[in-house]
Amino acid sequence: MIQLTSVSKSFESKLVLDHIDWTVKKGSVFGLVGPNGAGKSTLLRIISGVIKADSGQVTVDGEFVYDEPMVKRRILFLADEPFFLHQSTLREMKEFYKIFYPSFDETMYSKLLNNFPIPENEKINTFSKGMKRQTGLILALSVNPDVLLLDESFDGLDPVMRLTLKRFISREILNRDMTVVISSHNLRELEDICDQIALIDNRKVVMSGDVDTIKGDFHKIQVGFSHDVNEDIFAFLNPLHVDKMGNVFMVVAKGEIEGILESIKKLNPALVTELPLNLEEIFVYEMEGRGYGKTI
Amino acid sequence: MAKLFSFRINGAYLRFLLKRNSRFMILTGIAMTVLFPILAFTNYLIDGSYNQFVFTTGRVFILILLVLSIFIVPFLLFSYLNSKKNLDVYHALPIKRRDLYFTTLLGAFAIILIPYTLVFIIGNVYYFSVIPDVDTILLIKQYYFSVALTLSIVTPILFAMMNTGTGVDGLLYGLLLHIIPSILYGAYVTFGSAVLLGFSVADPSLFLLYASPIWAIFELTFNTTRIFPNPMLISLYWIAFGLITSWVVLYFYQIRRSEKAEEPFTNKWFFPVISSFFTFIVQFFLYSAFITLSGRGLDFRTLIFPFFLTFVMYLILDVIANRGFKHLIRGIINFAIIGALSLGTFTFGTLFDGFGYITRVPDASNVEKVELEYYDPYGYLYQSYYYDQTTFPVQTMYTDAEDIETIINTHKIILEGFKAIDYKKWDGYTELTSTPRTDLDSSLFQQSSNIRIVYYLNSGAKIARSYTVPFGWTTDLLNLVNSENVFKNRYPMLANPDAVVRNTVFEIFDPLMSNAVTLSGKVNFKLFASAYKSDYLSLNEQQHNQPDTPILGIINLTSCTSTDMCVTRGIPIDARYTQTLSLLASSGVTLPALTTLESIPFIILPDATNEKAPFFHIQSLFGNTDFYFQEYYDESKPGPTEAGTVDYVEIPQERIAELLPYIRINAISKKAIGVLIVKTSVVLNERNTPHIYYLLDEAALPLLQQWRSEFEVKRDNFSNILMKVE
Repeated sequence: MIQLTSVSKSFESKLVLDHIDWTVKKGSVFGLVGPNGAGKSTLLRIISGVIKADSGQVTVDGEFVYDEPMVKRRILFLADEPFFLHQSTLREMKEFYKIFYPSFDETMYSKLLNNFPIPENEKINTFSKGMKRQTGLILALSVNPDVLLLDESFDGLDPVMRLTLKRFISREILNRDMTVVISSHNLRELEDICDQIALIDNRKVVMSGDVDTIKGDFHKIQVGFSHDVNEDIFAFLNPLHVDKMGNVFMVVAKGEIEGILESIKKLNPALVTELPLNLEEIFVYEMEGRGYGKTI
Repeated sequence: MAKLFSFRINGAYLRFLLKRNSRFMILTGIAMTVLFPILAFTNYLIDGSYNQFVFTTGRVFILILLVLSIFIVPFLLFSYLNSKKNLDVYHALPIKRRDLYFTTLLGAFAIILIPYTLVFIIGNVYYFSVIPDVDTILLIKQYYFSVALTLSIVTPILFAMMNTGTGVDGLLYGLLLHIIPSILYGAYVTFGSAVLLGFSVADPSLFLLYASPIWAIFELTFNTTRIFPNPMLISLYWIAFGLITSWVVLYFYQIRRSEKAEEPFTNKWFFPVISSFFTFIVQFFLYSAFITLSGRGLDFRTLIFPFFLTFVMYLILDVIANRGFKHLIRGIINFAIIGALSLGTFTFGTLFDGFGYITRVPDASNVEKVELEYYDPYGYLYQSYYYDQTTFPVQTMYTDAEDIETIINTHKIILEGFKAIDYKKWDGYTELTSTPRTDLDSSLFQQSSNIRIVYYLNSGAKIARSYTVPFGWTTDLLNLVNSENVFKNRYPMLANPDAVVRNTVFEIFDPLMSNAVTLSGKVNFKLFASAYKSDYLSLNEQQHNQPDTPILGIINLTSCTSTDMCVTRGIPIDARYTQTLSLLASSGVTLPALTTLESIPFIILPDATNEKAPFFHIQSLFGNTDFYFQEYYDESKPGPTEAGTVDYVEIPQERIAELLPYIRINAISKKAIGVLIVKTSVVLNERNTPHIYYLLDEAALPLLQQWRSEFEVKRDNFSNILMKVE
């Protein structure tokens, strides 16, 4: 279990994380979302022990992480831009990782190499961006970590590779109780693979929980009127978003769906229909509700 | 604290680093091989023989390459510090940061030293096999010094890397940290030379030996004659420095703001501190250098140009640091503060006599001993031949209270002399005037003397001062003539006969060098050295400087300390050298008599009616030059205006013996009398002139007066007379 207690981090005078309290249960796949510059990468780098929190505590299974090799052996952090030694090959990188991670699994490495067509003895700097990402993931998964931290690591992969990886990770979670934290802007992907999700905004975790619970808490309702009405009539719902097209409104709101529908029906609409809402829309409307990107 | 010193080397990672950098090691090894053993072999192919020099040159070359690789390797191994994504990986690795740091540092150490060690061994095995009598201990020491100082050169570069975010900035400031000690020393020396009267450093390389590891690695490895400070202690000092700075660097490594990687500086204080200090000392250096070069003395207008020159330099550093001009105004303000500080310090240091540096003369009671280097224009007290000094290194250390008092008094006289002329306005070149302090003729005093005094105080401190002054200000030092130190300088082989392996020439001449008798095989050299030294030291300064006894003979002695290190001296004896004469007599040596001279002897006659006329006042067998004829001519005195001419007579060979009772040598005359010039083919020292000048005692005046009427008196300038003697 990853436990963050009142974690804060500043870079010079800029506060990036402000008293974050957050828990990631063992064996879960956590999606980390948030606007650009929200602090997602910083959070992952603190969990992996790359940087130290200014205050608060970060533990994995109750043990501190920063500069603690025994704990860090069980964690693998794959940054958004994978690192490879200068002029190195995949084989050399394997040797590099094997030095530090006794858990490095040659069988897993071979299996992954069969799934991902990466030439083992070619210089990595000649690879395409997608191949480099695959190379990074091969190495990361071969380490067999208990905690895998992926910072936008799926970006740049083609759909087939993405799917293969998702399956691979899902299997590992089932087999080994691996904990995965994935930060990404691609919420459609997170929705497929993650069972929990957290939203970081304004230096804090503002929303965290099961994907299904979160999705059950946000609703998109289409409401039509036979007469002309103003969008202000939905104000009592504290909507995250209201769109008007003629006399038809599209309202996004949080709360119990029954209560919301009942309240809307009291407005005598000609039409009331609940529409499906995906995670990406929830993120967009939630962030809009917080003023992010609203002016554009 | 214990945690600070506990770390573990990750052997697997160390091996990985060595394997990854094997190509660099091979390249370095090839370059070193080319410049050491292959260079020696090539030289052999050309010359057909081996010499030590080419092997020494090879060792210098591989040490230069070692230093170069010290600058390169940290950037190969610690390059991950300059990339955010690399840092993310390295610092996420399950290894403690201190372990990662020390393992990488050890890797750097190994990558630097493995090729050097291999080539050093190969080159020197080759050296052993072709050069006889190799000093093995010296080679081991050289290897030890080069290895011992490697860490101390690496750590300043690492320190720069820990405070910068890019490789370029790391390299730039690594270089800057290494050259700062040299510039600091240069600033100190130029400031002292330009502004501080009497400025001198006790050991010119001492500061850099302790401040610059690059200087020290070359100095310790190749200056094989250094005995103080002890090279081993200096190497231990640098090992300690390397270890301490390794931990300082570790501290900065652990607090390094990795999020600022790829930016010029990860530590916001690094650039202001380093660039300000660097600019400050460069300003100081340039102020002093421009004052010296201008030759205008202390003129503050001279400082304007270096001020603005450093302004441009600082702005360039600022623009590089900020990657643009966005902080230009702040840079200008910073520079204004630095400039004000440096100008203020420079001005105060100058106006207040270097805060007492100039006027300080230690009290005799505080002085344990004094080292004196003194080169008067006549070479009367000291030799200045470098070659002689190399053959017989002489340290002139005065411990006698009376001698110390004499030196301190001379120091005070010098300061009084400078005070009288307002030395701050003195440009360092214009001839200083002097008031004669004795009854010797004033013309004698205008020649320059170089004097350097190093006081060793009871407290252990040293005070060194150096001056170029008129000879007249230093004539008190002539009283040191009967000291053992002067004897050591005049006759180093007699002062240290144990160092002499053989005498290639050991003979005695008659007083005018016309006839010689060998002493080799007749006179025991060590007994001779002892007897002569005893005789010499028994004479007081008056007896040395104004001898009243004619010389009886001149011993020609060439002593060698090795195959090609020899020194020649002409050693006069007269009746006062009783022990020497006794030894010669007991050894069966009869003093040779005067025979025919090689050329016609000339006598320069004193001209009592012409005060302007130049004359010889001082005579020595030891000086670099026997006299400065033209300078003696004194326009301010009454007499004929025909400058540089003297009266002389040519004496027939058969009449010259009449002068023998009056000839003196190594003497200073109280007044103008007469001089006998003869030519000799015997080379008594490294003088170029074949002439010997004998001063004639006052008692010779009646005889000279007689000859004035007996022989034709001619008048000519001195160089023409010398040509006639030829």
